[in-house]
Amino acid sequence: MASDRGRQIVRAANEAALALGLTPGLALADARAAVPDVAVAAFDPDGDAACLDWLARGATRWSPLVRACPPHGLLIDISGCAHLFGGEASLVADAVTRLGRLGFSAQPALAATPAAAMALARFGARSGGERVDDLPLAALSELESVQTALRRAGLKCVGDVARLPRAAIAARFGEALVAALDQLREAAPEPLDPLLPAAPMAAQRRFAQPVASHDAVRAALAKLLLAVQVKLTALGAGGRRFALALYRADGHVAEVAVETAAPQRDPAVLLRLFDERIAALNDPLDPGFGYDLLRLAVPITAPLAETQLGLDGGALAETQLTALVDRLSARLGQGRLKRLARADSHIPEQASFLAALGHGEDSWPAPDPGEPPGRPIRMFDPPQPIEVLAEVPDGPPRRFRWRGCVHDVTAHEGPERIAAQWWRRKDGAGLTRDYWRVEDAQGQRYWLFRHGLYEQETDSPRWYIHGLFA
Amino acid sequence: MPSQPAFAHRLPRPTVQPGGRVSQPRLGLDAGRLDAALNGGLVLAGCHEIYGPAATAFALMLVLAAPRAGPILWISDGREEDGRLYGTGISELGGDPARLWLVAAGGVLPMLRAASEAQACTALAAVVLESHGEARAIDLTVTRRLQLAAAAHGVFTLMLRGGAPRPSAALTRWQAQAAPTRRLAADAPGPPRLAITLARQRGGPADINQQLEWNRDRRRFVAAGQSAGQPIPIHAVPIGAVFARRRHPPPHPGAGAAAAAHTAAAAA
Repeated sequence: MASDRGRQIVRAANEAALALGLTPGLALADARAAVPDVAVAAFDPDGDAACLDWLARGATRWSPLVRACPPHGLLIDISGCAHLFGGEASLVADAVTRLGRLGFSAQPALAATPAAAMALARFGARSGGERVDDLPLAALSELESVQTALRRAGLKCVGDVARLPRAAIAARFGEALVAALDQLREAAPEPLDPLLPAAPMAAQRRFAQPVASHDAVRAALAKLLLAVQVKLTALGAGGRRFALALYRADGHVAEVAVETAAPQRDPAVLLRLFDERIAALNDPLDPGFGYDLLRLAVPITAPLAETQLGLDGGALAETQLTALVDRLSARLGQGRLKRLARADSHIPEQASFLAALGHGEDSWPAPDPGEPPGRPIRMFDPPQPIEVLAEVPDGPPRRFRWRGCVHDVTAHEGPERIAAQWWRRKDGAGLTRDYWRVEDAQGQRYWLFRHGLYEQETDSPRWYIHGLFA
Repeated sequence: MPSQPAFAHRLPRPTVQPGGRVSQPRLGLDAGRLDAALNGGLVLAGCHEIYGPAATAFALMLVLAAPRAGPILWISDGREEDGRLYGTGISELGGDPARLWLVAAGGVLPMLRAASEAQACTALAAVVLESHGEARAIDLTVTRRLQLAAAAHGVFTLMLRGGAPRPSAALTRWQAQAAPTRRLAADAPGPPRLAITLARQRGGPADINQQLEWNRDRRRFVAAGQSAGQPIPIHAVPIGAVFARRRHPPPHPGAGAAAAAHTAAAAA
């Protein structure tokens, strides 16, 4: 049921309702008049799309190339997959059975192009034909005007249109109709844009009886990793990402993926990474009634040569560190490991930032010998406002209050004037910062700045603490 | 507390043996009394804990002074009340920020799990654990485990801890605070100086104060005067609502008068 200009109309109906004459498009009041105890649910397009997406993920059990076709279509490219299920017919039967078990009624169709399959599924049952040529004109174009024009020309089905010369159709009804006709008649290829990109390498394991125990799943995963290792070794490659899809018997698919810092194919190492990833999952894997299919895909591969360990142990240390990074990122998540990166900027908070570990290293300039450190070891981002007492408004700070404590400044150095990035702003404005390195009576050293030049940029400059030296 | 002699033999012998000549690699602090008390320096294959406001600085200086190559794994519980580590500042302290690998574990327990992973990796130069507040999860058992792993794999392990000191099995406990620095020209603060207290040591003397100055270029400490028995100053004085920001404050009694005198002299 959905609202249409203030009127509530029937949007979709199940078979029982259709049998009672409640067709989509009927006003809800009329439907209730006909069948007073009809069950009504609100139209939920987002929920429907999510459900279709969920089904599409589940459908990757038949083929990696799957696309959801809203509002109620699923396209599965089964080229080269049918023999795994004992032929096309039994694959289709399997799909219909599984969907039926979930409470969905499915209308299957097989064709050489997605458009033809979709048209056969939508219109085939109604026209009673198995051939594209027998399909009604609605399969060619959704536009009512085009359908009417074709009908007026005496054409009744797709086959009638296909017998006409192409140039004439294009001249009269437009190029789009010719393209649609070609796709429908399986004359033009139509690529499928899959829900998930197909992995270059995958291994899968099917269970006659669904398995629910953790140990059984783990043993199966170990075998999959071994199978993948054989394939990767033959290619002289290793995987950077391993994605495990666990297909539950009731259609749900759980996905667990691990990433490695360096190409990897050792089953023992990968199994340990998977163990840690699964242990760290926020919502633990729920096997429900058990998994009946496990698929391990390797979406990212990279060359991996056999390595000879050096006598100095350098390669060994490198391997250890890589393994540590992998384990930590599997346990804590990829984004938790950082390194200090350097940027060429005079704005202090932009000069050093956190970047993901393992993507290059920066070289840092050596400090001037003999000078005390001019930059703090800890930085507040954003800077914290403080109250400052200075002798003159543009002079050094004498005393400041931070976090409820008063600090008397006993020594200071500054100002180090850092201008705003006026070239980045349209109005060329921005406040200059005057940085002071100060020490309080207890010896704590702070990095303070005054935001704005007194009487030039602002009348009441604010003070901030930007970092701590010790 | 009942004594349990039967249990005693199950505890490993202390790593630091008083008077014994143990050929473990140690990190000397170049401060006579401290090094003597420590039997030559901090045991590198061990776990040490640091309290106090200057704990970050002391830990950084220790790992920079340690004669170990490889990355330094800095695992924090993810809280950032005291800001985050700043690369340029670490470079100015004499370190190479590229050696520092930061892990924001997002909690004390994930931090400890990450630490147990990291301590098994001998390619690391050091593992630093940074926790804020009174982390009750870090108890005697946990610190014992950290210490045993550090000793077994020879990984230099430092724990930066907040709150009041709690029982632990670390080899040493330190209190680190900033100390007034040497004045440079124009009354500028000099090189970093820390007031360090060896608060506790397993099987060794403790309660020793020492001021250490950090020599950035040599990456060594320099003992800065003796300060035996001198209490460490408390860092700040909280006040009520007396403090108010004034636009034109009266001159400061000390430096202000000097500045005024200087101005008068210049005018004369």
